[in-house]
This record gives sequence, structure tokens and C-alpha cells, in this order.
Amino acid sequence: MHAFDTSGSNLSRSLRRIARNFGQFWRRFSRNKLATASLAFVILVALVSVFADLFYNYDFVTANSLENAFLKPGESGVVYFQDRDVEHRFLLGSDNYGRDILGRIVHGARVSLIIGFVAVAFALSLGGTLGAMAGYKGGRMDTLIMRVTDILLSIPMIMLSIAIVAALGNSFFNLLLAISITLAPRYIRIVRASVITVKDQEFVEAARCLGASDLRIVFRHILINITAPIIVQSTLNVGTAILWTSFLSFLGLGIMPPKPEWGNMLAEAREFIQYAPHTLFAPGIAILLTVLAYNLMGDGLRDALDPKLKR
Amino acid sequence: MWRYIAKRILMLIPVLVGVTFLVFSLMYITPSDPAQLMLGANASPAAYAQMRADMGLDKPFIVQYLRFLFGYKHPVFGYKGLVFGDLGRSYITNRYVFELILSSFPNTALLATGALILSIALGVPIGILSATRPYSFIDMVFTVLALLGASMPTFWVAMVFIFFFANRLGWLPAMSDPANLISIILPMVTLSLNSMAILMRMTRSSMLEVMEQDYIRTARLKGLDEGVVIRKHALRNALIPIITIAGLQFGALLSGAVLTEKIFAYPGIGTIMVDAIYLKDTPQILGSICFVAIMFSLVNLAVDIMYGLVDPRVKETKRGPGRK
Repeated sequence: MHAFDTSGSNLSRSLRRIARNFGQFWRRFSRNKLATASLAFVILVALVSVFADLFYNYDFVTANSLENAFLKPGESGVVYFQDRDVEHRFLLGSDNYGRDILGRIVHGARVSLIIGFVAVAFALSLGGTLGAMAGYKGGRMDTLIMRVTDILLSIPMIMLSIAIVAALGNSFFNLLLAISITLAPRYIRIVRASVITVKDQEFVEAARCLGASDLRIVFRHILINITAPIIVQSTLNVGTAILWTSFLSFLGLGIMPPKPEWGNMLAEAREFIQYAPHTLFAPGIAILLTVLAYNLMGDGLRDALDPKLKR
Repeated sequence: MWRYIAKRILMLIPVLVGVTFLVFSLMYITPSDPAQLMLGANASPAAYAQMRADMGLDKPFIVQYLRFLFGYKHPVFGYKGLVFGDLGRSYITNRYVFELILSSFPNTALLATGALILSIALGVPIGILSATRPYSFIDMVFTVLALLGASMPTFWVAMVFIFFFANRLGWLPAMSDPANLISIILPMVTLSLNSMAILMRMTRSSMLEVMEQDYIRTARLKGLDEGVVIRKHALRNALIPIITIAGLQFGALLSGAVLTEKIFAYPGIGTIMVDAIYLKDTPQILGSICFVAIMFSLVNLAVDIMYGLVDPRVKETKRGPGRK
């Protein structure tokens, strides 16, 4: 669209067009029952993590109350919290320090989702920029970027993130950085490949003749064509990032206890597998369901956004 | 063909240099101080400076990197360098890192090979079964199972297996040891689940694609038995991408073993690496990560070359399907 046609009628027309496109997309997406259910679950987890404090107080789920250790799911105990004794029902039981497992899962969801989304956003902007530069400029820039990408891809992904966290020390930010850097090469490849296929087509040349800048051409005319594969890849990668976060925390290279995180909950549960199996199942199932939901949703999005790839 | 192979091998060299450079740089910027680690917290500044000089830590980055590759002469801390198969000695145990890696790598390879065989033996037939009955009940069940397999956190599955099969049922030991083959079953199954799921999905989609080709219709119209069509006409052609994915999975399994080994206390390269990270034992971290990365690249190269041999359509410019 050009600058002069932003009148009201045009705005409402484009809004209607977006609504129509969305309607088409939604009809295709909602035909897939598993994907729709996953979307509902993803929204549920997102809401739970945003409003985590309404369900459980953060200080409550991080404070020890050893007399309540290893309560079975559904049992109640008296917790000394904020200078008084509170009767509390542990819906999913309590862990080795007598902390509420469900409460820790709820607050852990927040950590997992933040890392999942921010890491993917960062990987996408880093990988997308580098991929677009490599594909659009070509020549030496392309060779350099692609060599670095090849090198990053020759280190097994999970080992690369382990190495980065091990080198920089474990903190929330370093974990985020490690996962983003590990995910970025996928975006470099996708974006570069699509830029190369599109950049010599006539409409790009036309845009250039009209005096559009490189940046504008890349964003408005080239990248717009690959939003579908990028959305699919990003959805799947949020699941991957959540999985890696829990894995790194499990190894003691991510979020450390007493901060609640699904992976470090499992690391603590590991020593008590025989004695208190309920501490092992709940966090694992939380990871499994969340990652599964993102994978199913990604598959559903692929089918709905890309009709060429019929199943 | 030979040109293709030679070119692929030559292209590997800059990648390997880059990998070692990257891993070395990461270890270089680590906040932990090896000289401090060797001396303890109460060392005098003079002893500390002497130690840094002895360990070669006072030299610029690039000198240290070149020493890592080509060796460093010193009576205590000297080593021949990565290129000559010597990665120096562990700061903690004082053992030669390369020897440690070589003694534990066969264990990891055993685990990864077993897991690969298991995932091919189950994943490919199930994929074929699903492809011959697309969208049937059995196909749906296996599709969901495959997605579960790809979404499960391996380290959690390992613990759940230990809980059921070792603690509750007592069928299999929780600790794993390469000398006792029964004890490898649990880590092997755990490790194979993810690859099995990927192979199942790949086989299914590859078979479905081939089944839509004209020559399959021709074969059916000729009146051939459906079993013959699937085995001789469809499977043969569908196998090429499956072999590639299976090969690439071997590399993934080598690194995936890192998580599984640690939980089963299996003496493989993953355990060595994780232990070294906890102890901040730089030579051992550096050595094990570089070793696995080099192995991973070599396996992927071998797969690419095999792909070229199996499928004559592969030209120099074309590469195998992207890695996961």
C-alpha cells in the first residue's frame, strides 16, 4: 500500500480482508480437532502463567516447611506462612522441602513460557536478519554467514546450549541466550533460502524501480511471503525451547532451586523416586503436555496455513 | 563421484577448525579461573602468577588456541595438541583427557548403536504399516504415539522407567554398566524413543509420497499383489530418504546419550562431560565437547557420501535433507 491510500474506506476494506483471511484460516485449522484442543491448552497454560500470583503466592511456593515434606496429593497440612499458621490443602502433594507441587508447577509455567517465547523471538530476529542479509546481499557476506551457520549446526544442538551456559555461568539471561543462539541457525537457513528464491522475481525488481530501499524490499515484499513457514517453525520451537530449558535446569545449568522450574523440580524429585513418586510425575507431565500441545498446534498451523502441504 | 567425496571431505576441514575455535572461545571466556582452581583460594599472588605462566594462561587468546591445536611444551602442563590426539590432562584427576574419552566413547557408541537399531527395527515397519492404511484408527494411534515420543523429555522418561522397571517391578537394574548387557536395556530404550518417533513419521510420509506416484498405479494395474507393490516398488524408492534420516539420527543419538547416560550412571562420554562441567575441569569439557562435535560431523559426512552413492541423482550441488 502506498502512503496516499490510507483513507477510511480503504482501512475498513483491509480490515475486512484480514477478517476474511482469518476466517478461511480458522475454518481449516478448526477442522483439526487435536490442533484445536492444543490451542485451547496453550491458551490455558498462558493464562495460568500470567495470573500465577492469583492462584499461589510466589513466596509461599518457594518457602520451606519441612514438617509438611512428601505429603501425598490431596493431603492437608499446617503451614507457617507470613507470621501465622495456615491450613493448606496440597492438591498435588508436596516435595522434599514441603512446598506445594501444584503451586510450583503453576509458577514454573511462567518461567518456561517466558524463556520459550523470548528465546524464539530473539532467535527469529537474529536468524532472520542474518539470513536476509546473506540471501539478499550474497557474495562474501553470504559465505561468511553460512560458514558460521554450518559450524553452529555441526555441534549437536543440546551440547551447544550446554557449552554456552557452562561457559557463561548459569543465570536466567544466559539460559535465554544459549537457547536463542542454538535455535537461530534454523531461521538463518529458512529466511536465506526464501530470500534467494524470491529476490530475482519481477515484482521485487518493480519495487526497486519504484525506488524502494533494500530494507523495505526485504520486509514488505520478500519476508511477507514466508510468514507461514516462520509461524509454523516458531510454534514448534517454543516447544523445543521449553524442553531445553527444563533439561538444562535439570542438569543444574539453568534456573536453580528454590526458584520453581519444571526441570529443577525433576532434579530434586530424582533422589526420592522410590519414596515419593508423585514428586516425579506431576512436573514431567506438565512438560510433556505443554510441549506436545505446541507440537500438535504447529502441525495444525502447517496444514491450515500451507494448503499445498496436504496431509 | 570421487570428486564429490573429496570435495565433501575438504569442506569438512574449515568446519572442524571453526567448531574447535568456537568451543575454545566459549571456554576461554568462562569466569572460572583454572590457576585459582589448581592452587586453592589462599595462594600468594606470586605463586598465582607463576601458576598462570606455567599453565600458559598469561598468553594471548590466539596463542592459547594454537597451543590447544598443536601442543604446548611444558614439563608438567605440556601436551601434544588436538591435532596429534592429545588434549592435555584433567585439572582434577590429572588423567589424560584423550585416553579418558577413548575409553568411554565405545560405551556411548554401543548405547547409540543399540538405540539406532531398535528405533529402525520398530520405527520403519510401523511407519510402513501406517502408510498402507492412512487415516485409519491404527494410523491415528501411531501418529499420536510418535508425537508423544517426540515431545517427551528424555530425562523424565528415564526416571519413570527406573521407577517402574527397577523400583516397582524389579525387572531391570537402575544403574547401567556396559559389562552387563541386561542393564543397558533401559537406557537404550529411553534413548531410542525420540529417534523411533522421527523415523516412524519420516517412513510414513516418504511411503505416502511414493504410493501416489504413477508407477505404483501402473504396478497395481498390472495386477500385481499389493504386498509385492509395497515391498518391491514403493519401499525400495521410499528407503533413500529413510536411510538418510536414520544416519543423521545416529549423530543425534550420540549427543542425546548425554542426558540418558547421566541418569543411568552409565560410564559414557556424556557422563564425563557433565561431571567435568560441574567440576569446572576445562580440558575435559573442551575435549569431550570437541570430540562429540567431530564425531557428529564425521557421521553426517559419511551419511552424505552414502546418500550420494545410493542415489545417483545427487549432484555435487545438492545436499541431503536438512538436519533436525
